[in-house]
Amino acid sequence: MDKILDRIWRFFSSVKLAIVLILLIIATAIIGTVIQQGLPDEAYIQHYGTATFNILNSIDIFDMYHSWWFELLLLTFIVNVIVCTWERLPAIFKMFSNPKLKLPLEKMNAFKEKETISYSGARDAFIKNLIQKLREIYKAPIHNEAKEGDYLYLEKGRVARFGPYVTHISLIIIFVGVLIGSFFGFEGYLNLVPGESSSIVRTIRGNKKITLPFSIQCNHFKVEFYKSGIPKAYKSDLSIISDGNITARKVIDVNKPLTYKGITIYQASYGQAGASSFNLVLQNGRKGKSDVSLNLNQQYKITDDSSIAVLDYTQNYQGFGPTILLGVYKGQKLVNTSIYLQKYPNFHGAETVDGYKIKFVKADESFYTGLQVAKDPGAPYVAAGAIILILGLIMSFFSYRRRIWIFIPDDTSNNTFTIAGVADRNKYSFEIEFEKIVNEIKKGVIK
Amino acid sequence: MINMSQQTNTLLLGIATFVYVGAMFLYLFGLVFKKKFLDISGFVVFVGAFLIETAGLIARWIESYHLDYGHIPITNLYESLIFLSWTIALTYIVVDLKYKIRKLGFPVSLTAFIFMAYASFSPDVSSRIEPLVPALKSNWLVFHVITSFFGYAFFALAFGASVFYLISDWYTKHTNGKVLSYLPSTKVLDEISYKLIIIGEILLAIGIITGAAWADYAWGRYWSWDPKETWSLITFLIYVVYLHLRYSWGWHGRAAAIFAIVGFAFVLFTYLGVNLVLSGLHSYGRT
Repeated sequence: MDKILDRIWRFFSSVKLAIVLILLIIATAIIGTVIQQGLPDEAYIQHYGTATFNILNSIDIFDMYHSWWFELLLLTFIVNVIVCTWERLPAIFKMFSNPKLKLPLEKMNAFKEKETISYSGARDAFIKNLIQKLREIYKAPIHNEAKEGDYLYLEKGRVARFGPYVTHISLIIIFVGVLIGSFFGFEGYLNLVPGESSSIVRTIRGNKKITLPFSIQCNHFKVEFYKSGIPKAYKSDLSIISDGNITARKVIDVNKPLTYKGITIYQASYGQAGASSFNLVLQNGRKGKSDVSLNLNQQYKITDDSSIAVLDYTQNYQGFGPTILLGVYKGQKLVNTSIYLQKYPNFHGAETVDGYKIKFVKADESFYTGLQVAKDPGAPYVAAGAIILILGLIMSFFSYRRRIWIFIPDDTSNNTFTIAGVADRNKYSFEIEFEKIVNEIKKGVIK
Repeated sequence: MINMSQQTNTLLLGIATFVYVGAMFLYLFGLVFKKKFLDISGFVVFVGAFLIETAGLIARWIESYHLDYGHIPITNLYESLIFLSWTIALTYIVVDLKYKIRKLGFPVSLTAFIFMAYASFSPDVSSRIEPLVPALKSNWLVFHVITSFFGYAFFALAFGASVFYLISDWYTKHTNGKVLSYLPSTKVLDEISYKLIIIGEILLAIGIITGAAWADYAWGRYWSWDPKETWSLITFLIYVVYLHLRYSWGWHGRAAAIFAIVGFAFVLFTYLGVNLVLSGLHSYGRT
């Protein structure tokens, strides 16, 4: 049993597995960018045919980022990261608490960066000068005396060794944040026309009803357009109503949401809620011209026994633009209907309704505001993880660990010492740095 | 008045395009005739082109205020192509001052020219200054685009250094150990390429994170597997693989250079491919 657990542990602690998993994540993530995600089933059936659709749908290809297999892949990757971190971190701490201060000469000679240099003068004075010089140009060395000679040890860029672990831990924090968000958060939408209020939102995924602990009221909604017709801004004036009282009020804008009790309300979109009122011009030879504004189905008396009403409206009637359906009543009885086009005011020619020539000038359209309502208690963890991730990357990359050993043998017949060094990476930069240190020593201490 | 100043920015950017061509030829002659003064004049002309381009971008920024839109010129395809060439140019100048890799000037000026010419002369790319849709009106836009684009620029230079690595490596192999004297040594190119990738990776990470933060402010959702963000993540992961192969398995030299070159294809696809090939799938709004 222990053997199996050990095997599983070793499987998850390998970098090879990490690379394989990352490559798998890359390969599968591409699928979802090529096949558009989350369309209605009909769209896919039309494109792929029923048989192919059924196969692809059975493995959630059309919602693959939320499929069990993709989530399993991500989960395996996180387990891999956790195990790798767990496995290697103690060794790193040990290495730091117990660095190799005395490196045997044969090991030093095995390094690429090494040099044996002879010096003149007294040995003790030389060591003193050397330490002084190193302190000036690089770093104070750790000095160890032994029977066979003196050892100096210098280390820089230790922080770089922690960087990868900080980065990996940040991934785990982000993962925890994502989990918290998916279990305790929600994302819903709510459309409101001005004056309306509601406490029920529908979730974006699954279309489930969620009742908020308060209701949201839209007091006003405004869309501004550029001259070219592109929307410039849309803003909703919202009130939060809890227990019958207005407890908060704010005008929200795209990128400027309102947060109340952990729930955030975003200005996500808007749409046409139809026309609210219609401007008509009635012209009568005798009585002159009058401007009339009517709501939908509102009857307007033009003579003692006849009235008109706008029965229907469309923004674009068969390519002819905004159009209303006008009804004519005698008493309460609908006796006639006909269409009026905003763009073609002379469509009816000289025709009149009880002596009135009618023109449809324009409709005042009303918009609904599209609100996104979301709660994500995991987001702060994700944000913290993201910041730690960047810190970890900077720690890893803007420094690198390098170690230098110097050995001065206790041998009066032969005044030489050996210096050797190694860098965890950036071998070439280290080569230059090492050369510079050696030259400085030669110039300043050997002379 | 408005039309005149709108011409100023496109005129300056057009001039910069041709000055980059001049720099490119000087660098090319420098490679062919191996004369140092050609490289130096190439660099001087290149910096000149970069300054003209900078002036063009500033003129465009000011112009957008005259049009009452008032936004940084990094918001449509035209501006993004110009801005990318600008970030690559600036990155090259800084990298050259630090690492003395002037010969990269040839591919860099060629790249700057291609992006600017594509922006200026392609019928698909409009040079008009356009207003911002509400979703783009955010301070995150500036951080997000600048970090992402400098990330792309560092990857582009790493790509150039890796190509040089392969050329130099190939030369040494086919001439029985002679060294291509006008390029830095292979070990220098290897390390420069790796260092550029690191900076690119950090900037790309910041770009992705600022994008996610922005999405969270705009829609309450920091990640939605939109093709653009998915491809940014894929590119990030490609270089994660590169770094792990390098640290854990000691990949360097030729293998690392080839990997960096392949990685850059992912950068290009993330930047252009997603918008051009997967067009229609990427939109800023959501309904």
